[in-house]
Amino acid sequence: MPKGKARLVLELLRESEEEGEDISFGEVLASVLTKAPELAQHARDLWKLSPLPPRVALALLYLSPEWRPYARVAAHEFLAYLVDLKEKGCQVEAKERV
Amino acid sequence: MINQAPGLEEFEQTDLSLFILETNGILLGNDRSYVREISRFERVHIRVSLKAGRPETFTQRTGAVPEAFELPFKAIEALLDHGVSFHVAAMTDPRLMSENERKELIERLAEIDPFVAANLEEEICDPYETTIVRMAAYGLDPVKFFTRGIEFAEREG
Repeated sequence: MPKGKARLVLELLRESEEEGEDISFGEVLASVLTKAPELAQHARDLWKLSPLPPRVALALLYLSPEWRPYARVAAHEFLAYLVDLKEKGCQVEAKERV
Repeated sequence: MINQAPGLEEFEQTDLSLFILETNGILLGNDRSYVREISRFERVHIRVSLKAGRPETFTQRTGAVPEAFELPFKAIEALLDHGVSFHVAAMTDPRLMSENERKELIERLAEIDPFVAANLEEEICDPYETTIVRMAAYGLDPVKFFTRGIEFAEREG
């Protein structure tokens, strides 16, 4: 499990995947920090992205030289989760339909 | 070129904070100078909408030649090279895209850049009125699709 900023980005990716595009990045960030308040110290410069759609805010975060290395670490971790999560979800859905 | 479509120049004159430009990536992948032009605009974000994870399904869904399948990926590479704010979206609804194809699409994106793949916006097909009308026009039964549609994708493998 990544630590610090990398873990914060990982949790933001997970929350964005679950919540979709109907909420703002600020709501995603608030939700992550409610579940993991210890990450708040790393989130201070992210609140300015609050009004943006989550995917747009994450893209801007990735363009930041300060955040980019942490985002890459989080991305590697998240990709395994993403594929595994959806595979399991599809299997459940297929069984339910049968 | 972009300066022949003055929308972005006009947007720059406003105090609006964000302009999201939606594209299928065909033009941007075919001519990187579009991307270079777009990179001049700091408040513009690009949403690249991918239609498929394989050339044959790309042709099936869009009617375009299979060779054009590569163009959106070239657009993504160009956007990365020029430091443009963008993310990728794809209709990975399991009723439309098989799990194998979805994995191939994510893996292809991850080869280009892992964060671009991780930030993928996965879309689900909702039964909007316009969607139902268009499905019917293409000979698809919307009721059958929205109740048993996963079988369409499962047949593809």
